[in-house]
Amino acid sequence: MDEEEDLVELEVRHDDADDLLDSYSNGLSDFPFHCHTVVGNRLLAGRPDTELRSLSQVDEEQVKLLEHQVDAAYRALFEMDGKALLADEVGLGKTIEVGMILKEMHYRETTDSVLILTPAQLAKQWQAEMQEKFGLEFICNYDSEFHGFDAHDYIIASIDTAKSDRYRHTVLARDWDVLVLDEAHYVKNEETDRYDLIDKLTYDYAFFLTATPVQNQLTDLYNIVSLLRPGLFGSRDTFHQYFVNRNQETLVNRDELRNRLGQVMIRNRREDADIDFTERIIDTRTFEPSEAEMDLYNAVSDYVREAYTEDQGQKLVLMLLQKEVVSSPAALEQTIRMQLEERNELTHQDELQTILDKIEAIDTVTKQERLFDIVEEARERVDMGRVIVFTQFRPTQLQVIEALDEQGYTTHAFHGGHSSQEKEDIVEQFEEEGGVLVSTDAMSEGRNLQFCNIMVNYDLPWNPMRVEQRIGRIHRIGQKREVYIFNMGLKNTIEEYVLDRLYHKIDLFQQTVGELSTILSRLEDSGQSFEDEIFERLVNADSEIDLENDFEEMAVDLEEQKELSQKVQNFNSGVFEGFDLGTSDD
Amino acid sequence: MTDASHPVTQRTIEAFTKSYLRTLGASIREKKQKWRVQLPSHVEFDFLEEDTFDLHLEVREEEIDEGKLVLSPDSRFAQQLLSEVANQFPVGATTFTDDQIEGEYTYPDWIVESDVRVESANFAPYYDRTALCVLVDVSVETVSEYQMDSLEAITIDIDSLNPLPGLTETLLETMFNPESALGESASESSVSEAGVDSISEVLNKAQELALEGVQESLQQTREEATQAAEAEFEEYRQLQEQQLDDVQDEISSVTNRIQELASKIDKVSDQQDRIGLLQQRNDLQSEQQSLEQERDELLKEKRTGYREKREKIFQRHSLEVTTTSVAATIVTYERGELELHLSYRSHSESMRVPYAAGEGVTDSVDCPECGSELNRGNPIQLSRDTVCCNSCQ
Repeated sequence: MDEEEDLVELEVRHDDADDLLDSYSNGLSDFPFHCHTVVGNRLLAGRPDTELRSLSQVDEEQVKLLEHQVDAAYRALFEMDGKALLADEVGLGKTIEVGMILKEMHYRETTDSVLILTPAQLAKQWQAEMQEKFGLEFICNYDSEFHGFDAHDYIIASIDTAKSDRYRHTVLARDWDVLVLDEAHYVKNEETDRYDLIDKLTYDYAFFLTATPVQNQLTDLYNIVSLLRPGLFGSRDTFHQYFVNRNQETLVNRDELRNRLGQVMIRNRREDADIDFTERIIDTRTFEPSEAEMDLYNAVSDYVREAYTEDQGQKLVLMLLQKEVVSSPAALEQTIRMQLEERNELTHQDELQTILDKIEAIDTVTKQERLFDIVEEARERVDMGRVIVFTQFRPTQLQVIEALDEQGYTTHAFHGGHSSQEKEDIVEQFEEEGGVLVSTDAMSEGRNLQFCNIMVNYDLPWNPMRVEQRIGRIHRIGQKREVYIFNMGLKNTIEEYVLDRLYHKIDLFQQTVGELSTILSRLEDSGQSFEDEIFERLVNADSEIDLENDFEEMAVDLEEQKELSQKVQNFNSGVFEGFDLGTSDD
Repeated sequence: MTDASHPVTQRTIEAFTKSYLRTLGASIREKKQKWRVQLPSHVEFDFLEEDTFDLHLEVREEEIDEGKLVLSPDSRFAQQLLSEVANQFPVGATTFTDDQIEGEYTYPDWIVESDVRVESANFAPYYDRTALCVLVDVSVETVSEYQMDSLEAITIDIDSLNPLPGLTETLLETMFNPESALGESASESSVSEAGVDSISEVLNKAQELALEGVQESLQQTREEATQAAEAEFEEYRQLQEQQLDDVQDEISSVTNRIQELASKIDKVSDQQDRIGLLQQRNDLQSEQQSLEQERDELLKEKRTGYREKREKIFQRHSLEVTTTSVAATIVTYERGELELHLSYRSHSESMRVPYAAGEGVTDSVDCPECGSELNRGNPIQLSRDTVCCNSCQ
């Protein structure tokens, strides 16, 4: 029997076309009317296009979509004609909503070019999330492969890079299909370069994100919305006269305003969304370094300070040394040796050699010894003793693994050098065999490890977003147990300052997702970069007391930003109190 | 064959409705998210009594009171309007001339994919031809869930019966541009006369071509329907085998009981008891017989591989495909030659190719040097002021 015979029968009937022939004999229709019949048939044959068709393609392992997010994506696309202000309260996953929108548009092939503008510190995070959760590949302006705004179609960039003299021209020269603007309150002021850039950009669809559309005054709302939907509120004066009361603090004619805002803005409130995180238990342990370790730390710090005073061009390397000295002697050694090899005419050869000697003088690595305590506790208390240890540096990773192996623990190594298949295999083995997974920050991009609930920060990145990314691997929607975060730091070192003075001040380890980015983007708005700030304070301090004061000052600043951020959030809650702009009830 | 179905987005349905109502002579007053529509006195819709009504935009039907009309891709109003319009004006006519093209010529792949530049082009129309652009609905009926319906557009020259895919694309685009008013660029002047017989012949041909156009998805539907039939048959087969096992078990059990009775009968001395037992044995024996009959039938069916049942199931799952011409546009278009002035670096050369307005280059063109056919994989080349191709370079 051939294949054809195995199949069910196919009966074909060609209907005769008497009706059409009759119509033809009776005279032709006017062409404009006939056109409508042709188009009418075409639309009848096409299905109503109001479903999120790509939903089934979202990998549920990677992202658990919540109802309010699906609803927001649907409304932004189909009810707001692809121009929307996503203004959910902090922590409800606005990035996920945009991811769904972009995935859907990609699926429908309506996104040839997409530009996502974010605060600088969040650009890489956006890139990772779009890739990890939605399989959307973007290039970021910080990637070495980035060749300008006219060279790629899917770009994530810091808004300040886009508005810079170098790039502004190419950004504006293009017709973008989609523009996404994160932290849209950045464009609240119509007299800034940022506002001007967004105002002049050409795009078909736009999605603006902010938890706080109103920063200082209600005009902020007017400015942001008018960029998206010019004319929705009429002129600035009309908006003022009609919707804002005299003392600038509350909105009036609220029903009318709600109706108009409802055409462009979606705001879900935390109390209405069904988000449930388990408890996070933070255990920060600082240890007294051995004499040899302290000696090494001081030598490195002195060298860094001196070298930086002489040549600020070396900043990145010096910053690296300062981070490595508290991570592990092994990490430090590798960089020092490279410095010695690469730069023959180095003026600081002697100092570097001394540092090498001091590294060799270290017998026991304090952190390593103390790590055994944590791992041992985990082995006794947790199923299969699964622990993830994060470090920034490969040599530290190797050293830690070696030490754990010697003690007879099951270990797994994860770093950026593995292929994606290898990475998958490693995570799978870790899940099956248990033990300790020692990972570099390469893990931060793209893996979910909800099956584990203990994490150790063996060293701490100076960029708080990195810390949040680490925590986010295990503490996310779907984690059913409480999560333990152990932070390890050496007393009287930069680590203690960063941990105690800064991270604990902003309650970093307890920040819900999204809150941190709000604080950081405020910080960036005032022109500071977190890592630079830490380093500058460290190298410029004249004395221990100076350093303490400097960090105290930074902490106060951070706290202020945190309070301001909270205040603005509360203000917005008040402004939009009683406005139902979230998920519809049906 | 071109898939003519078009997704219905909010923007499309609004543009279509507005354009259609205005063509009918209706007035539309737009106020926020509502249109107030007033139909002229001579116009009425089958599905609507009022001649003045409000259309609500960008809301879900269930969000507003019953009885209000909503215009959204899947609203009742939109579907009713589309269904009515779809049958209203099925045959029309238009023309495609050089004037309408305004120098926007469609160049063939063998130029587009080459390094050669077209410096200028000039179309010389020699004669008018008539074609028919037909919308054919292809519907596939099946008992399993794999229902398929598609709308194919085919344009065929009435004289030569050759398909004109380029013209189909151009026409569909001209007749449907939601951003601009529908059909503005087309006119119905100088429509050629065509006999009913030739129109009928073209419609038949169009329906056959439409069927060819969906062969691939049809084959897939057929395979899926076959799988559904196989699954149903397999279920039946397993059920029969199970039943066969059950009958075998019952037969053994009845046989055992008959044997037990036989030994009891041998041992019993009382006449009355004996008769009772014999009666029981008789009943069991007829039960055994009927079970054996049942088993034999099951076995017989099994030996034939349940052929009859399989055929029945497969018959039920067979596909019924129906093609129907739903609309036709008579197109008068110009045929002639396109003179192309080509250049590559310092070389330049001219050539003439057969061309039709709206369609593009109509016939295959061979390389003047080596005679190979020019196509995407074998594009044109220019060297030392001669036209040649990739193959002969």
